[in-house]
Amino acid sequence: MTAIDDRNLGEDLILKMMKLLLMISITMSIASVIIEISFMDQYIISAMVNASLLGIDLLEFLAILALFMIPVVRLSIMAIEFCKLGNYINGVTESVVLIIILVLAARIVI
Amino acid sequence: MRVEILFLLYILSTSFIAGMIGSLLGLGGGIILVPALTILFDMPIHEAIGLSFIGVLVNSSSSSLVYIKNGITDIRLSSILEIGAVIGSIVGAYTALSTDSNVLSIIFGIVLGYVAIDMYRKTRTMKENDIKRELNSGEEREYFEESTKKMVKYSLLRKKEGIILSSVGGIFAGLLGVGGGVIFVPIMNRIMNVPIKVAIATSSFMIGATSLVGMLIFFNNGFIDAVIVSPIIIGMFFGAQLGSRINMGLTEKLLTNIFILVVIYIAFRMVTNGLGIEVFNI
Repeated sequence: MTAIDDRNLGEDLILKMMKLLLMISITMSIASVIIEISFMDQYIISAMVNASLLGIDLLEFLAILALFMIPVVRLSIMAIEFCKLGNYINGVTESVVLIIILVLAARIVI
Repeated sequence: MRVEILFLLYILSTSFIAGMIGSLLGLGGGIILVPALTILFDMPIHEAIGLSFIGVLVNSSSSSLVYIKNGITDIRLSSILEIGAVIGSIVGAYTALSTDSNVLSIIFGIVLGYVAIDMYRKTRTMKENDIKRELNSGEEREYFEESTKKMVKYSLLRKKEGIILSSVGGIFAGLLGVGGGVIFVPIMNRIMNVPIKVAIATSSFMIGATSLVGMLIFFNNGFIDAVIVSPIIIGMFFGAQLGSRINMGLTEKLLTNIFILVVIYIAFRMVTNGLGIEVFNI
């Protein structure tokens, strides 16, 4: 197995998901900065701009959420792909890391 | 309002530079962002570390897009090292929240100094015979070297040592708000015989998980200042895109020399910070 052969390990799917989530995060961040430096928040429906989740503005929360999803999604894809290839040690490793991350995230929400 | 725009621009450009250097060398950029936020913007260290984790996560994802696309990232290797690194980063992040990290900063600086000298010695003294011997003694892998347009073969050695040491890298990552690349790259390169370019790409991929763990722990303890998250995300993303593209065109030797120079600088800053000596105070 080489680094090039590893492209089989759902790499295209990982790349697509990472690109999509990064684009969402960047878009939200740019929108947030634009609102921050302009006075748009005085005119846009306040419910949208001033809404906050876990003490963070909505747009910034969405940006951080999209970032959080990147390792979660790629670990899930890698765990599934490794198991499909019969490489259970790597599959279990990825699953353990994923569980650790989800437990830490659950502690914030609960 | 004008000051606010300038402030955001400063944060944006700082993150851009941190992202570019971090991505170029597989470091994540936290090692530059944390001192910059504390020294230039007078931010408390714990908040700077919390924000740095977000920046490193962006950097890791952004640069991995380029490295995976070009087939340089060794995903299987990252999977092996990730578990130790993540557990280490949990230990490190909780330690960082409860202790004064000055002594650890000094130790970290000394270790890094040694790593840099060792890497320098290797590049100066390794003979052709040594390289051939190492090529024939482990699990064979290969990658496409863009600068020479050739496939490069290498052998993966000392996996067990790599796993144990990556957990040490994870501890420092959690402790100092960095991705851990500054430890992971030398572990892969020096201990596991991985070419520096593959080590950088794989480290960039791995540090996404370690920085996410740190981010969650700091978020849970209220140390993420959401106000300046957006410019950090934007700056880090574009910086990482540029850094990883520059990396593709550089030769192995030049990349190693740049890495050694940056590690020496970081080691110096760690020791001076730990001793409370203010250098380049702006």
